[in-house]
Amino acid sequence: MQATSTTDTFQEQDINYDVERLRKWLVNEKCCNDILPYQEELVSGFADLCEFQQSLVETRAEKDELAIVRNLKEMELERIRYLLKEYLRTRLRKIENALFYLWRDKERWSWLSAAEAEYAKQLYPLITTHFERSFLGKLPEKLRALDERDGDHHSPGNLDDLDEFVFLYATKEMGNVTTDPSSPVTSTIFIQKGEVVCLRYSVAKHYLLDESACLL
Amino acid sequence: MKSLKDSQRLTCEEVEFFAEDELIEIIPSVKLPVINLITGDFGPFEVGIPVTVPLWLAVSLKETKRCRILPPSWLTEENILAKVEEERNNPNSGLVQLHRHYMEIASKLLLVASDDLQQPFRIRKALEDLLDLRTSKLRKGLLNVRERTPFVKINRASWMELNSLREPLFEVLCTFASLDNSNETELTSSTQVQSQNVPSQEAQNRRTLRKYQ
Repeated sequence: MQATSTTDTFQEQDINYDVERLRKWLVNEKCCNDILPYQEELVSGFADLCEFQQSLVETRAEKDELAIVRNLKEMELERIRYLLKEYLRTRLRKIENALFYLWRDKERWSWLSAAEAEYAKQLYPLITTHFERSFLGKLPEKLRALDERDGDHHSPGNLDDLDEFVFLYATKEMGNVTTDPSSPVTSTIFIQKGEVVCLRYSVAKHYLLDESACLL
Repeated sequence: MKSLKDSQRLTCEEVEFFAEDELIEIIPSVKLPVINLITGDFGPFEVGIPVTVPLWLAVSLKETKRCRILPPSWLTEENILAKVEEERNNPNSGLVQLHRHYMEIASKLLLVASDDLQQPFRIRKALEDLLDLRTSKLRKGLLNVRERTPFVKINRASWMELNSLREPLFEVLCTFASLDNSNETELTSSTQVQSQNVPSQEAQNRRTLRKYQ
């Protein structure tokens, strides 16, 4: 991965780097199975910005703004809305897939937005009722509980591949990183700014949260 | 419902979409005021005066014949052939440094602005050679992973190349990890003996760093 992109070449340009941050959090969500903290400030900020820009486009359309300028603004609005929608949709898909897991994990539950938590709260009874009506009710009573662990001690809705491999891109120098804390053999790697390393999500997570790295 | 993995993964189209945010220079053929976008303010656009805009905007203006696109300095036959030579002369070293979206930007410009490129057919041919060499290097690197390893450094691969490497590499790493885990379970009773034979950290790092380097 190249450390300097075209964006870096044009530093004099007046660029809103929050768009890049929004994209970064979308990619972070897409590239791991875990759910990450909801980016309230970014999402609400961009939702407001889109609304404001839309109203400007409509107001100026009535005046004398050139059609081409209006079209370009609308194109950009669609691009930003796509990032926003995809971010929210990716999180909703994760919530639906890991509902039982999130229900039990207080830390991750606190990372949901108020709307997401509400959605999960409404979804949970719907799914449990559906399971009960469709087959759980017909099983012996001791096998009916949804939070029972299976023979391999896996609980339902567990993110079994939470600790998958990911591509981590260092946006800052990360220094010495212990790459496999669970292994009896300690293994560390020095990660410099701009380097891409494939490693376990459990190692990457800390650096994603403090934004010193992102996923690719 | 699609599985989490399928619904989540980055697609090639999404990587292309992100590449369209890269900045590029154009020479407008019409006069336009400053365009106030959410991403930033671009312009003013004066006929014949270069201005920097995101790629998607440049493509949109080009498609309506309102500008000429100035290709990035690396997008010439000469520069790409130099990279091809560099890749070819160093078959056992890492990849050569290129723009992180080199293939997406080049493909887009070859598609919509081939008249702004010098000898687009030769550029396309050189790019294909470059892509073949790099893909072959990445594939070779994948074959070098022959044991459990906690990390693999992959420097200088473009985003699209990483995306195509994702599935096979993760599968190989996970397979070795699961094989190793089953060995560990079998050998728990002899942990005491094993700990005496644990390789030094330096040797471990050297072994894992060899991949892709």
